[in-house]
Amino acid sequence: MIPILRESMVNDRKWFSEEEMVDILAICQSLPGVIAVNMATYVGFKKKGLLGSLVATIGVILPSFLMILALAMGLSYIADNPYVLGALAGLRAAAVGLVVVAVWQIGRNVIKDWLTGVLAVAGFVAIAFFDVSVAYVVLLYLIGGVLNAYVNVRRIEKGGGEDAR
Amino acid sequence: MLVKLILVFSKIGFLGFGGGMAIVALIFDSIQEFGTISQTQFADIVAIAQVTPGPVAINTATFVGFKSAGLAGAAAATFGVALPAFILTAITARMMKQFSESPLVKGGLAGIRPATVGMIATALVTLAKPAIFAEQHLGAGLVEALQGLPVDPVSIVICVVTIVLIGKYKKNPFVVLIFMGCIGAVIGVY
Repeated sequence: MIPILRESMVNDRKWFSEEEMVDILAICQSLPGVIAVNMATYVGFKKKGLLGSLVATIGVILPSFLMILALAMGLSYIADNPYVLGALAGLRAAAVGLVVVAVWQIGRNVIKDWLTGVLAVAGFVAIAFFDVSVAYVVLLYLIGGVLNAYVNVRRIEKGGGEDAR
Repeated sequence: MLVKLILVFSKIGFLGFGGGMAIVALIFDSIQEFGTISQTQFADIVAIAQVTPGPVAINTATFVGFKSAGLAGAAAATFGVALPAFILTAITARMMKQFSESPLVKGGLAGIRPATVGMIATALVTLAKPAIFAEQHLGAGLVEALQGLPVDPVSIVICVVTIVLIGKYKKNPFVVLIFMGCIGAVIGVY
């Protein structure tokens, strides 16, 4: 989805340069929510303000919304068909493989040292095995990250002051 | 029910740092609150969401909403999951500079990243259980002995082959999933 958006906005419509697109992508990745939808909202806002972002967001969601509705309705009629059951079993197994690849790719980008590694595993264990609400984990990690950044900023300011003396 | 769907999915949308699969994990986490969807049903929904064009998280939200409360439920869940990101992204688009250059914002977002890995790994466990410990094993109709095993070996093979094809050989995930679905239909579960 993201390569399609990039292609359409940078090469076809020439709304943004390649560099602007990199910035937009980085921001949309860091916000909560689906990246493709965030990009639609962001680009819509940049082009035509709040109304533009609303139209772009609805536009990017609507086709899949309708398709899923059609599938969900259709599937309830053929849910007992042996071929459908087999196909779903095959799809389930393949979907697991797809998520394994996602964990690997995202984990490789995020886990840079022992600390991020331990934090990732701790978050997983807390959510998956101790039923800790994801909200608490995200909040805790957010506070930890902000505190860490605050301490670093203070240290740099202090360090600069000492150098001057 | 509809108000509840909007609230639950808004919470999911607000916490959904890290994109699609992280949100899928959150959706399963929250399903228990209105629990009519089993783990196997959820695995089916996610599998279908992945082969339907469009973001997997939106597709999953729409499907879960539909299963919970029909057409209006699908609309409520989709609206709810998209709303927080819409508000936050629109605000950010207005003041991009201050946002993206603040060291505290950067630090906070960097802090969340390991949690995202944990969330996606949780989604993996949720989806793997019903696939590997399925009630009806793939190919059990052809080779009866398969049904007697504690795990579903054909599903495990499909999963591993999918990992190799997508992870190592960079094949198109959509094509691989459809192919595996066809194999499943041919082999069958009975």
